Amino acid sequence: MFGVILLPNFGLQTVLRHQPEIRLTGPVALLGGDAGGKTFVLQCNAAARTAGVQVGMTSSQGLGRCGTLRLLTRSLEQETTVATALLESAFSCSPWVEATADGVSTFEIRHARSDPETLAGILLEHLARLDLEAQIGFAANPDLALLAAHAAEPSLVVHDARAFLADLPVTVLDLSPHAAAVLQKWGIGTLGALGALPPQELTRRLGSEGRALWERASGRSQRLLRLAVLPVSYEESLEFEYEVQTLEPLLFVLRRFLDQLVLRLETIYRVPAALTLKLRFEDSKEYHRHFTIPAPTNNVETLFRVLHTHLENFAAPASIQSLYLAATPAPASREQFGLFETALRDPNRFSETLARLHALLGVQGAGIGYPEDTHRPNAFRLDPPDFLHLPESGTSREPPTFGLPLRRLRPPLPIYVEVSRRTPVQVTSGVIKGSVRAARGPYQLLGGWWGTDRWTCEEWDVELVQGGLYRLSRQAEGWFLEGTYD
Amino acid sequence: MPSPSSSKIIELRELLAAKYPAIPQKTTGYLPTEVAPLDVALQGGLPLGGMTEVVGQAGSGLLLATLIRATHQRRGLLALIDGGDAFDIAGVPRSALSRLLWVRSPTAAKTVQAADLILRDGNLNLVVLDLRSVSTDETRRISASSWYRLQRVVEPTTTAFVVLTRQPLVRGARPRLMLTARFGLNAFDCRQQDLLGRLHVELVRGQEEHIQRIA
Repeated sequence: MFGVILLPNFGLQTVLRHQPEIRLTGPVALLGGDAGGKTFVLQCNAAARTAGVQVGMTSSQGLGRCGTLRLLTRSLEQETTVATALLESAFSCSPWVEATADGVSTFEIRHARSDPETLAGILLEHLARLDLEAQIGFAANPDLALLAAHAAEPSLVVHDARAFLADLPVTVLDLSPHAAAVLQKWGIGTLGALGALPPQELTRRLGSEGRALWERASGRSQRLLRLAVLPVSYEESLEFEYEVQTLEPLLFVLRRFLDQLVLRLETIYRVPAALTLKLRFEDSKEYHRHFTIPAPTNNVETLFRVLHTHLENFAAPASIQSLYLAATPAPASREQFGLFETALRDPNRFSETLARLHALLGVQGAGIGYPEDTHRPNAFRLDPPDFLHLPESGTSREPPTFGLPLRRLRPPLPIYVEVSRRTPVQVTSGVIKGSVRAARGPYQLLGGWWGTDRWTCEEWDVELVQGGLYRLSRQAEGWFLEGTYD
Repeated sequence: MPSPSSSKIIELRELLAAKYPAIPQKTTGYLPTEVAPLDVALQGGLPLGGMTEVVGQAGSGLLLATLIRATHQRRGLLALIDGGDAFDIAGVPRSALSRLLWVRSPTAAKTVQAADLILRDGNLNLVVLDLRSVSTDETRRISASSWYRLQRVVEPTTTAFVVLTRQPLVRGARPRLMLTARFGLNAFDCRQQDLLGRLHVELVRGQEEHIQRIA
């Protein structure tokens, strides 16, 4: 058994997919061009056809027939995306899939678990969620299934080929002008009549085309499928008809993109593990951003929040002309929490919170602090937190920490220090003032002497008479209050 | 199936909750701090879903370092919202840093905003808001409604929320603890765990709940 998924008005559907406000109402036509630069109507919807618009008309003729006709141009990027989505849908039914033509995909079913009617229902529902209107036909051979798809409303399973073909017009067979003229002269108008002709005589008069036409008209044509490979790119893009200057329309389209991408990935049992966003601006500059999803998920709301949070704090340098979003597929993450391990319950939410913190405080405003590999005071780096892959803790014995922690002043505060016998005895600044009860030091620190970044300082820990422990440092510029021990 | 009397009690509770949303909810549990004087004062540890204010200068840094170490040993996660950007990572073991989200905030307003974000996140076991290095003028400008909002945010969670201040500041904080200690230069010769015994902790607000729990 073979199945064919047909997307009628393929080009028009691809353009209208992300524009529901146009798709649902009004006459619309898709324009194409010839080598001479002349544009004409390639496809049109039912409302346009009712108003008298026909394929092949020039745009002026179309507008002459229907004043409210909306003219759209082809989007090759969108057509590629939809063709990929169509193939993915076919691959969800069978590994033997052919990309027959634009908007047509043929697949072979062997050992099917469900009957063709059920399969057609599932496919139609899936494609409808992708905002695609489809017709599906099932029959014993690929060509017959294609004819069934053309006749389907919206699905048709051909059990009796002879009865199905009997009343179909011969024009469904893509006849050459010569063959069409001959058949018309013979009074052959239906496939039933064509299939009743003797094949040898037909071949003698029309050549190999006659034989092929007879085989298709009698439902006996057999051919091998040109097997397609499952596409690996999951991307959506849109060229805006108008320049986008606010966030809302951008978010609206992004939400739709995510819906579509997640649906497409579901057909191969995958979820987005990363998203790539590209924006192109009016001044031809581009913006790229890669988002890693900490816990890959197919929850559109979660994925949308990742993009929303970033774009909320993004200032576009100019109006946005086009938008591109790609998803990297991965298996869904399944977390088994340890009995005593308190890992992140919702890694994606934490990632979003972190993005908001970075927007509020800057990238160096939140993270995991680690000391740099130097003895220089206050040398640290801030890394992004990775709470999903934490090292084992609490099992090994830590060396004990001595003394009180320091609460630093960043930057250190200049302070006047009175020194007697090379030891601080009195300190005065805007923060502290008093006599030194006891002092420990100096702790001489030196580093970077092998390069150009040479540094040196002398540190003292002092206790004041009125109480309080402080760290002082003496540098080339003078004395500084480094912080308070508490 | 609940009996008619129990369903009436449930209805009454819902009515009261809707009419008096400010009534504090019962604490769902306690997070031990490993700081013996503090755990004794709180009869178990920091209340989960509650906002605890610890007022004091000397000893509060030691308390913070102990909380970080204890969270690490418990395999938990901790966020430090460092108002004034004063935290020194050299004061805690390197291994404990991997479980510490350090949020460096330059102003009091941003510090409160960051706390709001982290508490709403709900992923972390302990959130410490350190306002000791923020100037008094700035901390006074934090509105009372901000504190109530944070209290409302933390209530339905299982996060313990601690605010470190130099002077009593947080309206509605329950419990509030006064921390006092006096250290000399000889403190540098002692282990931090030994220094904890020198902390004096006094419960100045929240005694009612304390008494109820004992009862």
